[in-house]
Amino acid sequence: MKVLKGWLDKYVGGLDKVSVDVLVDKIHHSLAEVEGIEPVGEELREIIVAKVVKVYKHPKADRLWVTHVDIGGKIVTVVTGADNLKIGDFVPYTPIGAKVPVNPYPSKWDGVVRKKVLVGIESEGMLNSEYELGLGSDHSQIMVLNDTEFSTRLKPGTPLVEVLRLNDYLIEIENKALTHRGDLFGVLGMAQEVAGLFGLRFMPEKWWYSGYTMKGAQRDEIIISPDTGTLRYSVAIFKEVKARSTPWNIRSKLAAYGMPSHNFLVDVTNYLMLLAGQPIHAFDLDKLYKVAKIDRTKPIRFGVRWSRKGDKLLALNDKEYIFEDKEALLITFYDVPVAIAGIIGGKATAVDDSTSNVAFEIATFDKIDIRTSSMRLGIFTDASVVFSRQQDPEKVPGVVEALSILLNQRPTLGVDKYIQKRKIATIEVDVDRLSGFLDLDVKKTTVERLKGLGFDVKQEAEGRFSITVPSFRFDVSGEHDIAEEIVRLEGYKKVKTKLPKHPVAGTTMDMDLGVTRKLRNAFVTLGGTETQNYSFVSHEQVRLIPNREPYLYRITNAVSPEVSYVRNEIVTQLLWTIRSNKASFRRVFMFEIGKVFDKRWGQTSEQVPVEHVAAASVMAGDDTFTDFYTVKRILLSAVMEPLRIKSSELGFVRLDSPVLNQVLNRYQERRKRSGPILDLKALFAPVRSAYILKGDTIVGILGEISAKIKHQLAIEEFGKVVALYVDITDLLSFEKDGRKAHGIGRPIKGAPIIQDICFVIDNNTFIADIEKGIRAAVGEIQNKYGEDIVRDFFVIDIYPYENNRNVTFRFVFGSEKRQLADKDVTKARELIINSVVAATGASVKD
Amino acid sequence: MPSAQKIIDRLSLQYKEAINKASKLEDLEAFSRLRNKVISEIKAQFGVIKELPPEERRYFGASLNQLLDEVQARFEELGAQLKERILQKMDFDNPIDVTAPWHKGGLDQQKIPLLRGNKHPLTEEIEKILDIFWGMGFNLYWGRQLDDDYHVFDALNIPPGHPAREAWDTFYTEEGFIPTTHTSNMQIRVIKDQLAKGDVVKAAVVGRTFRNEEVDATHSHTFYQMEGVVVHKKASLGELLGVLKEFLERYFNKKIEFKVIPAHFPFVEPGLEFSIKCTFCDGKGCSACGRKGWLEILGAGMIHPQVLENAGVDPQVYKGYAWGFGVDRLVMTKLGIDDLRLLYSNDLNVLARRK
Repeated sequence: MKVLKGWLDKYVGGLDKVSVDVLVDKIHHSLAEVEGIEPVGEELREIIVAKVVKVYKHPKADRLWVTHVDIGGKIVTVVTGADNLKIGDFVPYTPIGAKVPVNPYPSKWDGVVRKKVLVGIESEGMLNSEYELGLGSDHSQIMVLNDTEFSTRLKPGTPLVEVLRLNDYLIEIENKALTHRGDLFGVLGMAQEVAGLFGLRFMPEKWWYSGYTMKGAQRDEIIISPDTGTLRYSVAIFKEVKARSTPWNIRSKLAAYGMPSHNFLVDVTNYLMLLAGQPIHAFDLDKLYKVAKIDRTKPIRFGVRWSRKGDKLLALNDKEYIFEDKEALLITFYDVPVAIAGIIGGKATAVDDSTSNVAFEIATFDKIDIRTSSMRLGIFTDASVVFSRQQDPEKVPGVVEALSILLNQRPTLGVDKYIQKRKIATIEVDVDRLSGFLDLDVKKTTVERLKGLGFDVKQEAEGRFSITVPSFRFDVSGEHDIAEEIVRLEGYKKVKTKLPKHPVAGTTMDMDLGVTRKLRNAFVTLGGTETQNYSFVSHEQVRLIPNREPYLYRITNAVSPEVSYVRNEIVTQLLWTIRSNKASFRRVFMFEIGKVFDKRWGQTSEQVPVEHVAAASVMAGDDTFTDFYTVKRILLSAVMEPLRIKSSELGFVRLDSPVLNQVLNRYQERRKRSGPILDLKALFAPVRSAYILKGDTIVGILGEISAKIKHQLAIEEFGKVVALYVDITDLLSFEKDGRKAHGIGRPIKGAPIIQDICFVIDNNTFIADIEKGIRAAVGEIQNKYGEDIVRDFFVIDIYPYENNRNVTFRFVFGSEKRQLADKDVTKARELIINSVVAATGASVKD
Repeated sequence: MPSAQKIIDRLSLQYKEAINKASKLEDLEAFSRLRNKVISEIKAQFGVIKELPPEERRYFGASLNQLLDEVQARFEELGAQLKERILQKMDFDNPIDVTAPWHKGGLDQQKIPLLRGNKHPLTEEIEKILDIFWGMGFNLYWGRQLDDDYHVFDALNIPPGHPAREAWDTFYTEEGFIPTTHTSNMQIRVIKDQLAKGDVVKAAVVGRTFRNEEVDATHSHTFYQMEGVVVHKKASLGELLGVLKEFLERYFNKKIEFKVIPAHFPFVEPGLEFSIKCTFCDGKGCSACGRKGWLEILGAGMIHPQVLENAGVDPQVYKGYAWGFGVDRLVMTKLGIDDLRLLYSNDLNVLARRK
């Protein structure tokens, strides 16, 4: 949104004494951020006024004319192709070396004026058409400035910008910052605001918000479809309008905003849009009847309705639109579409130089209707930008009066349909309450400053006021809005800052936030580098694992191709990450903790997708350390230890284990819950990788990335690549159920007894089988001793040979009641050995 | 002199044998040795052309080329199969006991290679920011990432069709869920959560947020936001400004000078933009502040009564304020990074660069 400083000055008493910088600072601090200040007419700076002193036909060229022009104390010769000049004319002149603002022949010429000999006569400079100056569309003749309006300023050598009063500034405010302030999209609305902010007098045009009334004919009508939000639709008919040129006071304003002059009627509508913030559309009344194929004697019948499938309109931008049902809001004449409401008119009914009877549409649409149409069709015009902010229907009669003044005739007919007159809001405010809310000393005089912004302020009692909101302020409805007005008027600088007085105790941290911080610290301590991959994955990344696509949330409207799905695990991205680092690193250890989503998990009680927190890590490098057991160690140290989960609480099942599938087939629910982890199986070497179980839930996966995947992703150079992935949310879901009481952690009387047992097992027996055997003995030990004296047990040595392994377990025995002696644990030891042997067929080595 | 057909027949036979042999190999090196040998033998036969009678040369050349193509294709196919078999074997050979703590040896096998680890610069900064809020008595939350229209827009006083929705280029899933455009999606949740426990809400939310944009040096479709939400009976504008000043002074570890300009966000009223005098150049103008002398830090405001109502709170009794800011830009400014993409490149050179 742009506003011309000099134009504001006209309507705010004393603003002409305020510099543009001070004005901008005020707007910046009290209204919205100013994007920039743009000097107007910059490209016209070098053009000056010249006076024709002699003009004659070129002696040797038929279509050229020779002029002698006074450029201020110097007469120069200029040869021109235009034939409209006479002695005494004032014309724009571009001197040698300057550039023509609008180059009419961009392919042939760089636009810089040079000395040139034209059929034997030297031409020094150039006389310009309106088109070349960006002031109009006429390129057939030299622009003549003899208009009486500037007679006092017309002196040879005077800069054109001074003559046209274009030495001004456009202040630009971002449209998005003013979505709530439709009233500021015209100079008069902005002038009221600025006057209020500075405490200066607002001096609007006398027609502004006038109660002007039009005469209507009984039979004419406007049919507004009830499914639109249209507030008011008015048509003013002016008959036998005499074609004339647009006066310079209007053209110079349009020029300042960069709008070339078209014809008088269009210029007037553009001018009033800028001034009043009211887009107006001018229809040629005779063409309306013609297009609708209706007899000229029939009454006027406009309509506002949503498009129906198949409706067609060739718009002023020369594009033909064929509409869908309810795609855009249309203006119709006898139900024939003639304009896209609030956005763009139809070509067939547009006014032109020969138009005699005009129908001006002055309407107030619902901002959402216009915005919706504009977005759906992808058309953004000056009018649609203004109408996408709510406009005030009360403004309409005054704008009709303005039209009648500019056209210098009264409308012959008018139709005005005012659907709903808005109730004017009245807000009760209390200065003490406002002072407390704003930490600002709000006084009676402060509240009264609201009058400057158009509010009506009435004192009800000491410190209490009733405030009537002006009809154009759609954004003000309650005391909080008045609070904002007050702090804007007073300035945020006056607000007294303070800190809340609440005890700093009992603060809580989202469990996931606390947990992830612990894990992150542990990973970093072990040497991991944290990555941040996007929450989105590409098609290619999804396809790395077959058949998982249906379970990922798919993004339908992304502009970036890598944003195709929401990730449901993190390992795939980490594999991509090590690939992108392979040129510079031979060894990497990375981890990432983040949120993941999977459709199989369904939705929460709020009907939003269930979200899980997951941790993943990848290590790569041809290194003796990079194997399954390293990554298992990392799992235990970086994930489980910080969460106080012991390895004995976890199960590890090799990916090729047949038992697992049997279990999963029995529990389809579990298959859903662990879906992403089960999918990840496709990335791992089955016999050197495992699922991680907590209880009987699969909470993660770890192991070696398969040779096939390494080959596919071209990361074979690293040698071994190992990875781990844990669904932290699932892992922690057990915490809520309460941890199972465990022998470990209870006090021991005296010193514990430590004994080692070496089991000999074959290669088909897992260490977990021994552990199972040990746990199976606990019941009997409890019976025998009255308590579980096995406080801890763990592997301390493994010795593989031929087809066997010697696995040495260390046992920690202790009692709560008494100091144990070696002989006291003999029975327990025997029970353990028996149980393990029965379970595994192991033998015991002495 | 051998006729062309004879030579071709002989070579075909030879090549069949070689292929047969190659298909039984299980070693990539031996395979490629054999392949190279066969192919160079066939190629060598091109030298025979000049010894043939002129009328046979053309036929011979064409047949030899065809044979060479066939052999090469066949070897390629076999090579791919062999590679597949080898990869398969690598994945299924050498099963291990995944329940063991290590492969062999004693307790000293529990080793992990020593590397230098690093937190990501973004999380490092987030942890620092959260610590400050924690120290100021705020409860900390991790924001939801995939959310619905209600929490992202409606609850925040941004109904469908509202022009403020233009300000955000929003991603949608097929189901109409939204990768949230801001951490404000947590506002009514944290207010409800904390008012169920007491009568003061003091919450800081961190989360990933998303906009449908092309990635370039200054834009990203993914970034981190921090949100602050305070609700209690006497919450006020001065308190909001006080809290922001306090937080930023702790964060930059020095006194700050701030300025406030009005801004419109539908979920606050009054709404404002909070800038501080550039902490890097003391307002003189530098690359960090874009020569403006001020750093635009965050957007804030008094929570709109409608939002409080949506959170089930009586706006006559409770007042509130909230603010939000992007973490990424803060990190970039602090680290002197001028390309946003570096933060998500996961380039170890960048991640390990810091001390």
